Amino acid sequence: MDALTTLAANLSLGFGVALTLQNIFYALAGCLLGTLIGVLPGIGPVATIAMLLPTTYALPPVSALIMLAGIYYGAQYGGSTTAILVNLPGESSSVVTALDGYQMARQGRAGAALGMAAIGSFIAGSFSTLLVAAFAPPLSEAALKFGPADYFSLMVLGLIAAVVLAHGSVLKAIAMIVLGIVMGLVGTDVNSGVARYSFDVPELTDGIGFVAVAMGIFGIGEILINLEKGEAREVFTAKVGKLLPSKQDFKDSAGAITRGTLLGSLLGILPGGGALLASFSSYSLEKKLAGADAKPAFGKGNIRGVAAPESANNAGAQTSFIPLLTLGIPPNAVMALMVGAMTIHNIQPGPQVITANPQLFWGLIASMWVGNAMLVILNLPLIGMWVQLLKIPYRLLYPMILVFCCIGVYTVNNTTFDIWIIAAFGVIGYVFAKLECEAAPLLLGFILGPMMEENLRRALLLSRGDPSVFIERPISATMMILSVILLVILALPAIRKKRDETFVED
Amino acid sequence: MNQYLKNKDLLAGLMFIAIGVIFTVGAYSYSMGTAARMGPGYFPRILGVLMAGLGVLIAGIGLKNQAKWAVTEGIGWTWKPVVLLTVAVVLFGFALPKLGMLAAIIILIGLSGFAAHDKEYRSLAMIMVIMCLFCAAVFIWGLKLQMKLFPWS
Repeated sequence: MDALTTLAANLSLGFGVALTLQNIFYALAGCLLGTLIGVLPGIGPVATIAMLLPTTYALPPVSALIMLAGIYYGAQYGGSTTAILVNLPGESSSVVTALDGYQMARQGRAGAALGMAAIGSFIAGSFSTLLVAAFAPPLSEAALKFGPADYFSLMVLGLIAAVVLAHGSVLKAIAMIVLGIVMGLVGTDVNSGVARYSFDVPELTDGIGFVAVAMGIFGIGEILINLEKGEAREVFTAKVGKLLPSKQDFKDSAGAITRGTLLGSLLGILPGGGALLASFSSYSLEKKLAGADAKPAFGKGNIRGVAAPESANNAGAQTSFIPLLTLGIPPNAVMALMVGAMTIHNIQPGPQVITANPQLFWGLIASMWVGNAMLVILNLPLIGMWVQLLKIPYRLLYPMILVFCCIGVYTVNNTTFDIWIIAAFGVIGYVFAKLECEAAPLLLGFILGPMMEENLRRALLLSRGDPSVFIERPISATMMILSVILLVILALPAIRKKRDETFVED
Repeated sequence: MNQYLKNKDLLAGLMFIAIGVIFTVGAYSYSMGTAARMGPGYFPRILGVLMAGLGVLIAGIGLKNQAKWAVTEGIGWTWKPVVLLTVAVVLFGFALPKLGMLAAIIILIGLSGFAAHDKEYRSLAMIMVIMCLFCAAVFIWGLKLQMKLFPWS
């Protein structure tokens, strides 16, 4: 009972912050902009957030984070819209949505698919927001007991878990993480004042900007890959059909939404988890439950195949805020960007935020729900506009994206050096993609690198250089054991085969 | 064409080895310190060696599977868009503070537009005009960012 009253008090504090006219406006603007950019084919949430980050600089911290969260949900939903209408998932987490969603669109039921995606997302979002509100405070309290050694081990676990989710080669993913960490070390070392790997370039002594890296790889690098593929898309615009799903659709989807929500919420919390794992697992769960005689068959336009992964990826997107808000550790590339955004506003994400800055903390959580509500209100009536956007040919789209990336990155520090950085990382991103080295783990390593070094340094300082501190502290030991188990599992041939299958679209 | 150049694992492995070696060598110019008092070179050196080691493993696996890679189509680098876009972005960086935003946008769109498969100059010119107006309205007049619009402003 006591816990419930505190929860209610906290939530009302949060809604007090989130429901000011100003913040509602920013949540709305974020969702709108996020969907606008996210709906454009070939732009995932990471690129969308990186591109729109500059629009939030001038805002007060709370409003900026609320707007960014809105951008994230918008981008996520925009990606599903492209998946359903064009069969071009803008991001990996809506890959499975495209399987049945696009088939529904071809049968003239795009409206029902889009509507069910929005409704499922909203239900999942509401539930997982409550979950975040209930579990974040006790977890942050537990996190205050974490010492540097525990933090270091937790980050190792998080990075290894991210490997599990990377496509393709495990070794390459680990190498990309390590590369990200060393790139994060470029610049002046906080402890010794030595400028590392700056090659006497004055701009490099401040380190490489994470926005520039993200925009270079996920913005320009993506464009280069898309240009190479050429244009082959077919938009089902003529017959979006009725937006509200029928009674039968609701009856069919209710179970799928519930299961998707629960599974997604759970998987989102795991380090390295988030929307991607959530949507893939809930789709395969639904497919298994339905059996071979499902009507229509999965992959042939079954609405459950849209409702489940869409609910799951939204729930996962939400609960992946938990590790960020309680431990200050981003579980995926999107959250890594949120860390960067918080740092720009002088907020150090971590367990202290909830006590030091309750307005911000609860405001952000309440705005998650507001953002989800916005999505439903906004997207259903505006679908027609999104469809029009999808008609813009890529040859006109990519020069516009380029302009926004270049001006956007320039506004971060007002330096042309950052523009050259995105040019360089565009090429680097292209080379990575060609060599099948996935870039998302790199970004995660890039953000975690400096934190890892700092915690490693502190842990070893406290233990006088004795590395056994990592296995003597119970929390740290647990993390290390989990990491080793994960690595061993990954190395087992049977599991590896299963993992490869999961990431293959069938 | 050299059959080894089709091998994505081999090339990726060599890339990681090269980067790992560069970072390891670089780390030697910073003091190493001890585990208890880590110097600025400590962590980078561990990571550099780790990365080079991973590179050796990746390249090794690639070599083992060389027979499979040799029958693939090859990586198919298309350098034209890469060069065009990179040059366009770099020139944008030079032009923005000196020539102003409008000239920079025109250079960026003009050059990068040639990278598309299906070029259509009329609509590209239209996009150029729209983007100039839009960016001027949003970034200069709306958000009041510190950027000059024309070469003479």
